[in-house]
Amino acid sequence: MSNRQLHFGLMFWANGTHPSGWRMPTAHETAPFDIEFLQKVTQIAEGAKFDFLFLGDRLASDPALQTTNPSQMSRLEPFVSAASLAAATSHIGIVVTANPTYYDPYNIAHLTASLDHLSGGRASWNLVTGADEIAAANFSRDEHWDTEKRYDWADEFVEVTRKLWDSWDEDAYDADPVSGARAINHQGRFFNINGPLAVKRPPQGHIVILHAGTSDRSRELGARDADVIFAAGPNIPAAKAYYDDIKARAKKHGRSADDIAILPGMTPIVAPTTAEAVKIYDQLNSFIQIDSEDTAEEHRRYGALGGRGKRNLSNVTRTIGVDVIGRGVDEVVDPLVLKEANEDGQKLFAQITERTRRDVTGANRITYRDLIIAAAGQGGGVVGNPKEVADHIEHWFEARACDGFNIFPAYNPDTVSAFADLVVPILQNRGLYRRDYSGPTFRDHLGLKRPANSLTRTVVAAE
Amino acid sequence: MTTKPLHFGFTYTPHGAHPGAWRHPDSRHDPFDPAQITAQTQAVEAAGFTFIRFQDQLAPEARAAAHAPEALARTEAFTTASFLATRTKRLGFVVTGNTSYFEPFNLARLTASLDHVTHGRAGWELTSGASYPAARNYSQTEATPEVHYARAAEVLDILRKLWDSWEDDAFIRNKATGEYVDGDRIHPIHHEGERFRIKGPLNVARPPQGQVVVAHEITSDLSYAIAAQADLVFLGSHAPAEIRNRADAMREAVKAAGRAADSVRLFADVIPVLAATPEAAKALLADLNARAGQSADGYVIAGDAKQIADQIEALAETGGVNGINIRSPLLPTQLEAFVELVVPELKARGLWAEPKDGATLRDHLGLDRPANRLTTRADLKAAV
Repeated sequence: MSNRQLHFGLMFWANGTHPSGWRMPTAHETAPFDIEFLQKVTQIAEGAKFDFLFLGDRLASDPALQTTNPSQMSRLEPFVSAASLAAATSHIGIVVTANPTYYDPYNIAHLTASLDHLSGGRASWNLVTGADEIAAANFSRDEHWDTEKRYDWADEFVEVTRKLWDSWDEDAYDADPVSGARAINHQGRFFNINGPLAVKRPPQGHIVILHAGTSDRSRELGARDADVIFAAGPNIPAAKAYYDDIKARAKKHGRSADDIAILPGMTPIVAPTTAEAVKIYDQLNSFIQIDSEDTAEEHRRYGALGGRGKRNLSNVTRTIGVDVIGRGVDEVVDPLVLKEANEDGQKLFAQITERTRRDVTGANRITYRDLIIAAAGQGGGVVGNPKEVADHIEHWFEARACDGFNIFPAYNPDTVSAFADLVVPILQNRGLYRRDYSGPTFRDHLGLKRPANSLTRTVVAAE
Repeated sequence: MTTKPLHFGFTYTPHGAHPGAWRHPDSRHDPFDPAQITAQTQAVEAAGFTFIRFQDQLAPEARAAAHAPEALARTEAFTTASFLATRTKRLGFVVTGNTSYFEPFNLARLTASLDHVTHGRAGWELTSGASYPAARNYSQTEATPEVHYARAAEVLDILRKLWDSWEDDAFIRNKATGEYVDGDRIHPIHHEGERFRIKGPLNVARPPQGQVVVAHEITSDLSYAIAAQADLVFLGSHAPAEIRNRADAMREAVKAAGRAADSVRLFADVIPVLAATPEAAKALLADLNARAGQSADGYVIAGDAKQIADQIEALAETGGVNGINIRSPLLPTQLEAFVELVVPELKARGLWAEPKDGATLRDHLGLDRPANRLTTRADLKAAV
């Protein structure tokens, strides 16, 4: 039995990460503004000993998102949500997404440090810089900054935020509320901040930082500053290459490879039997609205989460290199189409077979709907019985393609309960996953030390 | 005689409102201990206060120098209120948010979300950089009070529009048809002002109260114009005669803004130093003053329960206010004593308005839920 343990986060999109998740009969369709429901799902994840619940964010809205990403259209502000979830739980880490491009460091340091105190050391900040071009219009900006500017800004933002977290001596407040705080007098390229923060040093010392991204700047920021990284890996070789790159970069920054947990996203569709899991998967996809074949209007994309194109046969035709326009959506696919498909098409068919156990021949056939949904990059997931899903997780973990997963709930709360009830016990029995929390803070779950205070006059040794 | 019952708010100050509080042996309050602030807030709710008020600290050293170390540090107001709202049922939460140091879009999301999480118990106390200097923590140079207030007025206008950018019936959520929202009930605001350009819409549903309760404290002559657009006005912590002057000026300002004089609720703050006997109360106040080397900043009254109740009644009557904010000088003991001894006395005199379960902060304060100013529907459109 390996000592290495899996880490799980729950990517909490209230309406589900599947675009039609909210239409499932048992889905809670009023979820995004129902704080008691958010609390309930968080408690399910805490019962399954998850490392964290993840609150995503966007800084703009558009009703057009309702068919592609209803969870991203509107939601409760994450800091306010997180504080309420902290009040309703005791151990699970709580991750808040905040974009430094549209925030001040003092406010972020203030909000995150407060959340860490209120939650007893369970706060975390997911630092995002991109994916929000349309946010600029809500912040009196002419344009969304380019990557270089956003990362130059983010690098200094993190530096000054850490200084603000350190602007109080460890036990200064308890001894005397006045003497232990100090100015940081930061004068940088973008920020001039005197300090100190109006909050004493957070229980975790520094808040756990999360980051995601594939660009060189993003990998550097993640390897230097992040404790958890979300990764997108379509397969083990790609995920492993990313994993190895980040861990190598971390070492270059003087960190240990174990200081960073790399967690790809994964959507488990699990049920007691494989057939039942496939049935749920098909039901979810049956609700996806098929777009018209009119290609004049560009499909609107919302960052990396918006899918890969329209949900129609024109997009399938472009993707697989075989003209299938005019076929019936629920018609079974002619085996000749697979034979003639290009490399991307071959991959698409294999992916569909993996998820649905259907093929172009035999008793269970692939339909054009399957192709449409897969080509649009929607309805992904690991579909299977509990053992199959646990095997998938173990396979990736043992291959060192990841340190765990950020679990995407296709719809709420059933997919979360199913994973907790059916898959987690198998992983615990295999010795791959904790049966209980080892401590009260998010850093404890990750096995990370509390950092020493970089500004303190007499350096306090890290515990 | 005052005939109407009064609303009571609790203005939270870590350790207590007296600058000597944290040096006093009875001070056992740790503003960073979630269990302690939870217990204290639940006690405030159980006593029947209408709301608790949390204030931000964006320039701790400046405040500490001007007032007292108690002002130095505390948890941030929005997260604190949301945390505590989850552990209470009917208490209102009035939270400061600074218009000079927050982006309006972020402030709109925080306030609207707090109203959702509290099921309509949220109030936003508008503060501006004119209240105290924090520019040096925000990479800004200090501006004049006039500039801060002009910015505040524009931010208030933006927030009111963003809160209304989703109509109450914008959500369809029809599983059979797949329609989640009605795009015609969601409105960009296209704000183009002197300082801000905000397209909208907000990405938060309309707050349960329609518009979050807006509060503002009178800190200078410049405060009146913006307070005239608020629902709740804090006149400060002053002797009854000064409160009266401010209340009169405020009512004039409200009328000048084209609103009915009684559409705004006026509150005065008081620091009650309470003991079993008048002599013991005076001794406690002298002790706190000695420990701080200064007196408390505000209207301090000292006495036994009856004297405190008398002076609160006199303050309300002379001042002509709708409510009183209590600032306990020393936590937790002075809050506990107030709840045990003074609250029953005020209730016996019919002076205490008791909030009800399931009601919003607007309901508690007798304020209507506003119509949506951005709706295109004739039947819902606000009369202008």
